[in-house]
Amino acid sequence: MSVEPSALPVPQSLSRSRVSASVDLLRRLFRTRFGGIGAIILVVISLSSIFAPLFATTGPTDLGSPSMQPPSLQYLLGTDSLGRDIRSVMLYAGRSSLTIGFCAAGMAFLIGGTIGALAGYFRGAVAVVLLRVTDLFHTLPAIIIVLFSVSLLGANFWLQVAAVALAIWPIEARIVYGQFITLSEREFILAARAAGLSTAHIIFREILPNALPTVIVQVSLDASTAILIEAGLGFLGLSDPTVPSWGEMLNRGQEFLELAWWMSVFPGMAICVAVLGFNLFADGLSEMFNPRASAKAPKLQS
Amino acid sequence: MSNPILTGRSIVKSFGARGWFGGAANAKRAVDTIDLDVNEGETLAIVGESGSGKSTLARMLLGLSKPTSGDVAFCGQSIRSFASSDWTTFRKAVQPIFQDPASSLNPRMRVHTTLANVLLRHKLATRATLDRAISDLLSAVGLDPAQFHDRYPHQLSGGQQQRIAIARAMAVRPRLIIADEPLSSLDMSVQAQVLDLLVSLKTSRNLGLVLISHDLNVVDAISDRVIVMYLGKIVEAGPTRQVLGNPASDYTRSLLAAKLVADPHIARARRQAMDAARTSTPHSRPDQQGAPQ
Amino acid sequence: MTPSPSGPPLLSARDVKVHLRVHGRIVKAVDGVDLDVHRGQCVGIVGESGSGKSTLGRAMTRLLPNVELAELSGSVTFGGEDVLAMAPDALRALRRHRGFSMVFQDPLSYLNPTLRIDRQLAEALRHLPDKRPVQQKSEELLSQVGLGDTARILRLYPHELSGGMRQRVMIAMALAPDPQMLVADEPTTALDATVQYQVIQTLRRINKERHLAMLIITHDLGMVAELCDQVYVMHGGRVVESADVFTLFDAPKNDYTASLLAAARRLHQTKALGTA
Repeated sequence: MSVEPSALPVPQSLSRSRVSASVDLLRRLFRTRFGGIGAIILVVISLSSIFAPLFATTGPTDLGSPSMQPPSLQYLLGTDSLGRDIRSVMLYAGRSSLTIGFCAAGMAFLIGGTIGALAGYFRGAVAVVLLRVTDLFHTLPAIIIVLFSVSLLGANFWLQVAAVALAIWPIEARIVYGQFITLSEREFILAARAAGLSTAHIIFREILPNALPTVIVQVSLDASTAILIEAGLGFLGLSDPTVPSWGEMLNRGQEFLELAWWMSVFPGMAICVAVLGFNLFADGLSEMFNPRASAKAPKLQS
Repeated sequence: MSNPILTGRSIVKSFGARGWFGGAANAKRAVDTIDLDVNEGETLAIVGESGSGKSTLARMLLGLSKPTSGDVAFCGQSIRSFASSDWTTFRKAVQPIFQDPASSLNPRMRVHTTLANVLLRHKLATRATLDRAISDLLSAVGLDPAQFHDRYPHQLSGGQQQRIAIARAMAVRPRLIIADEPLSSLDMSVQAQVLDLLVSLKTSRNLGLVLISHDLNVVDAISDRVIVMYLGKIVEAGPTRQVLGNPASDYTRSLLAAKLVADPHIARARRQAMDAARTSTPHSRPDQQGAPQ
Repeated sequence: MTPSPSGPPLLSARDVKVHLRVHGRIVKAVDGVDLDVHRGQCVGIVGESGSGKSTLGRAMTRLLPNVELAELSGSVTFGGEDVLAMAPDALRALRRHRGFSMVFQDPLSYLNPTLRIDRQLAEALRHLPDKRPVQQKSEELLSQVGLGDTARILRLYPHELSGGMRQRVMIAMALAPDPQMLVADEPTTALDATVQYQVIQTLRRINKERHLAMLIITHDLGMVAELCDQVYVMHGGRVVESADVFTLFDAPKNDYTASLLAAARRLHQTKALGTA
C-alpha cells in the first residue's frame, strides 16, 4: 500500500526546540489586543519589586526622611506621616503584594485543581462530596474567611497567603471540574483507558495539559483577586505590620487624605495597575487560546 | 467451531435520573437486553442509526462503561469479576477505533508520544527499542516514519489521524478490534484506503473485528455476520449475505432501500419504480426517524 | 437524459478567486472558478474536504466567515447583477425576496435554540409582499417540505425535533423568501441514512415542481447521482471537470474524477441490495 503524501503543509515550527515554541507563544500574545500590555505591566512590576533596592532611595522601614512632604524631585512620590519615602516603600510593598498574588493563586490552583480534577474524573459519589465541600467554601465570603483566620491565628504574612488561597480555591475547582468533565469524555481519553494506561497518567499527562490553557487564565485572574483581597486586609489594618504592603499604606493614608493625598493616591494606583496587569494578561491568554474573529478582518457579510 | 472472545448476555444500559425515592422513574434504555457473541477472527457488523444504542453498546463491550444489568464476558470470564491482572489481559486483547479521528488523538501529544505511552505501559518495548517499535507501527499502517514521527495531530489529515489511531490500537497486538464508525468522518477516497488497511491487518493477524457502521456497502463488503439495532434492541441478526440479501425485518428493508448509490442510472430507475408504485398517498408524510413501516 | 438548459444562466460565476491568509501564509482556497446555474437546474459541486467547494459557495452568497482575505476577486452575476460588488442594502433585499437562500449542514447550530419554530419562520416571512396571515403561510411552507402535523411543529423548539425535521425546517426557512435559487452545503450529511434519503427526495421534488434552481455542495457522490443535473468537480480550489451527471459518471474525462468514482464504487456495489 502506498505511503500517503503529507496533505498539509508542514509549518516551520516543527522543530523540537522549546525556545522557539516559547517565542512563538510570546509573539501570539502580543498579537492579541491587550495581552502584550498586560504582560509588560506584570514584568515591569515584578522587576521593580525584585530589584527594589536598586530603585529605592531608602530601606523599607527607614523613617529618616522628613514626614508629610509632597512629591518633589527628592522625594518623587512624597513622604508619609512616619517619614518614609513613599516611592521606596511602594517598591518594597510590591514584593508582598505580588507574592500574595502569585502564591495565593498558586495554592488555590493546587488545592482547587486537585479537588476539581478528582471530582471531574471520578464523578459519582466522590464528585458529590467534593462539590458540596467546594460549594461550602464558595459561599463563605472571602473576607470573612480571612478575617476569621487572622483573628484566630494572628496577622502572620504567610498565614494571610494561605487564608486568601482558602478563599479563592473554589473558583479554581469549578473551572478544573468543568474541564475534566468535558475532557474525560473525549475519545482520546477513552482510548487511553482502553489501552490500560494508569489513572495517574491519564489525569496528569493526558487531561491536564489540555485543561491548562483555560486554567491558566483563571489563575491569572485569581492572582488579581488575591491582590485585591490583600489590599482590603491592609486597608482594614489586619495585615502583617512587619511587612509593608500597598493596603497598609492606604490604611495609613486615609486619615491624611486632605493633607497628604499622595499617601493614598500612589499606593492606590499601584494596586490598580497590578490588578489591571493580571486582568489584561488573562484576557490576552484567553484570546490566544480561543481565537475569535479579529477586528481587522474585512466585513464581508451584509 | 465458534470460539467466542466476547459475549454479551442481556445487556441493558439505562440513563435517566432516579427520583429521590428510588425507582427508575424516567429511565431510558439506550441498550435494551442485548445478547451477542463475537468469535475469534470473525467480523461482526452492528448496523443502526443514531439513537440505536450501538455506540453505548460498544463502550460496554470495551469495558469503558458498566451495564446497568446483564453481563459482558471475555473468554468466558465475566468482566465484573476481573482482577487487575485480568483487566491488563483484557486491555491488551480488545482495542477501540473511534469515529472522529481528530478527537481520538491527544491534541498536545506528538505521534511518537502517543504510541510510546502504550508501548511502554505494556512493556512491549524498552527505551532502547522504542524508536524501532514506533517506526514499525507507523510502517504497518502505511505512514512514513521519518515524516510522521514528530507530528502533532493537527498537522495530520483525517485519514492519517485515523491510521495513527489504528497504529495505537495495533500496538498491543489485540485479538479483537471494536471500531465505531471508523470511516464516517473520512473523505470517500480515504475511506477506501483505510478500509483496505483494516482488512489487510485483520487477515494477516487473524483479528476479530466488531464494525459499527451505518454504511451497508461496507458492511456487505467485509463482515461475516450482521446485527441490526433499532432503539436499543436487536431487530435482526444473522449471516451478512442473508440479512442484507433477504432481510426479514421491515426496518432492515427500509435501511437498504435508503442507500444512496453513486450511479445516476440506478437512482433514476429507483425513482421511476417508486413513482409507479406510489398510490394517492400525499408527499407530506410526517418525518419519522427510521420507524419500522 | 437531462435536457440542456436554455437561456442565460441565473447565476454565473467567472474566475472567482478566494485567497485566505492563514498564519501569515496565503491559502488559495478558490483559485479561478467558472460556474453556471440555470433556472430550474440542479447543479452539484462535488469535492473532498479542502477542495474549496464550501468556500466557493459562501463566497458566491457573500456569507464568508470573518477570515482574513488576501484576495476576493472575479464576478458572480445573479439575475444580471454582480453579487460581489453589491451594496449591503441591495444584497439584503435580494436575500429577502426572489434572491438566493442558503441551507447549511447542521441545523442545530443554525436554528435559534431559544425560539420556537413559528417565530423563526415568521422572521423569514416578514418581508414578503404576500399579505396572508403568518400562521397560514408558515403551515403551508412546512407542508411543502414534507412535514405533517404542521400546527404542532410550529409550537416546538428546535431541540424537540428530530434531525430530519430540523433540516426540513431549515429548508422551509430557506424557501420562505421565495428565492430563485437554493444553495445547500452538505444538507444531509449529518442525517441518518433513511432520513437522508427522504430529505434528498424532498429537495428533488422542490427542484422539479417549483422549477427552483439549486446548487448542492457535497462530498457525497451518491447524493449527486440522486439529485443533480449538472456536476462540477473541485480539487485544490479549481474545477477539474464539469459535465451533466450521466456523462460524468459514465465517462469521466479527468483522472481525479475517475479516482473519486473508483473510490466510491470500491465501497458501493451497484447491484441494488435488498430488492429480491
